[in-house]
Amino acid sequence: MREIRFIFVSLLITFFLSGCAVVEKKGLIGGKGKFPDSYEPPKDLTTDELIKNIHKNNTQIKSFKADMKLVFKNTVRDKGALESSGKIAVERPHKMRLRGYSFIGGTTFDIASDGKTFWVYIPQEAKVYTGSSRFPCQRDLPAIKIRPNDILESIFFNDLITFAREKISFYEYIPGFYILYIAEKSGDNYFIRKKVWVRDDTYEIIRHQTFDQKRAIVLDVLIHELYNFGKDGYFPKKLEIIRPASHLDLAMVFSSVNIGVEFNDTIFQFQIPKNTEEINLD
Amino acid sequence: MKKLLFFCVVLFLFNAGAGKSAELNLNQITDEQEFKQIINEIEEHREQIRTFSAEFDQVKTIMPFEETEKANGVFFYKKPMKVVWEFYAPEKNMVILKENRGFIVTPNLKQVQLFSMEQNNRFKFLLAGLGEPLSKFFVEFNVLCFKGEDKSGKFYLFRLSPKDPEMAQIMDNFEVKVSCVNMVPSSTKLVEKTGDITTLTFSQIKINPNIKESVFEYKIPPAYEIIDYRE
Repeated sequence: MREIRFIFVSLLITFFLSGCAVVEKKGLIGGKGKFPDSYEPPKDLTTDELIKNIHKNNTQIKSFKADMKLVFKNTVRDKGALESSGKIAVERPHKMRLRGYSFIGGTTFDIASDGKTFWVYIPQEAKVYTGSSRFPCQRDLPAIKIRPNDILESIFFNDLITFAREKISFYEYIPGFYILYIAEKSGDNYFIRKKVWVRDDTYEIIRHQTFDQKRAIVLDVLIHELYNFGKDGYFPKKLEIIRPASHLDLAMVFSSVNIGVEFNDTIFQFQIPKNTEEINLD
Repeated sequence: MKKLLFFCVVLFLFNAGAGKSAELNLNQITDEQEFKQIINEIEEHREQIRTFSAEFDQVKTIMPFEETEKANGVFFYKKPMKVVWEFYAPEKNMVILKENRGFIVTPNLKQVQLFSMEQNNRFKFLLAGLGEPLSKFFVEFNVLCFKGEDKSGKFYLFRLSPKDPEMAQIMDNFEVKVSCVNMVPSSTKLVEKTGDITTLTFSQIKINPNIKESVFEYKIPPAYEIIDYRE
């Protein structure tokens, strides 16, 4: 029942608050309804305390391995979805291997990141796209329209919530959720870089958006269901990653999740096949 | 056909190695006459096949993870080119080939992908020695032939390595194992450049069974999305 309530509330938030409705701590402004005054946060936290709680509940899983189902959709056409199976291995914060394959035939794509460099290999194109693992690459990936960092960021978003001096953070509260804003300095002004929905009971992140300096959404991630690993924390069961600029909607469903796996580093390394074109995206 | 076979033999000789494979229970056939005889025999049997049915097990090894993914289902073939490839597990999916048209049915997405066989030649590999003569592949592939024996009996193994640089970027080699009992393919193995290996093994093989025409007919449900790659 709690799960159903959570999903229902998540859906409500998805539909009604994605446009950044004007919200204040004790109620909605400009709407017909008004939240009762009793809808106060369960704890009157400072922003720093909220961030600490997010980290406390989301940093226990250092590594994992899982099977995946990926469904790629075009957000404009809403047709032509493509499905791929996959296997993923991740070691925080930047190491990853994701191999996609079809039910008949071979590898559809191979993504690796050794913590310094990433590679996205598309066998059918005989091309490999590379760049820095730690920084967002400057160019889009025309082939898969999603960056390896996007995937890591989607799963372990709290790794990006920091107390850096050039950032300011604040939050607002709606029933069931804290909404955390992280603003970054650009010249003399700040702009909202991240908007994060956090459950008020578990401090689990259930949605996060990333904006550019023109206030456009760069990345929108919704976490529809969660695995509960007890003291080790939560892990996404189903993620939806939307990149409006690329018209991409990528759904990722995880199964057979093993946490705390100790990997041999070779799994995160990639050998570029002979005669493969290498395209650097940095 | 004779010209093709001559070409294959030349290629075969060009690729013939020391005669003994490093792999256990495999002896490379280096004698030109023997190779020619084997190819002729397989082709003679293939020409007699009007219909073919089998169950199949697919094992895919994902190398960086050193894990396997298993799938199974049934396979039907009718001359000249009608094929149904129905996966039961882990998900119900289906591939239908009818003459030059292909359908990939994904019930999970309520979707059918249409393609032409010319566009998607990967299915031709899977039909090597059944819908397509093995020798047809020797033009674009270097070939090694081995004789071997395992628990299922004696067999011939053809290892095909692509000559085309574009194909070689994707595929390391492709193997077709032909049973000496019925001279039809009993398994195929694809080794990709990524290191992934996909092995498909037939069982419960029936040669020339009575297969109803309706097996190859598929009516796309109205709710299904159609993606036509032929456009």
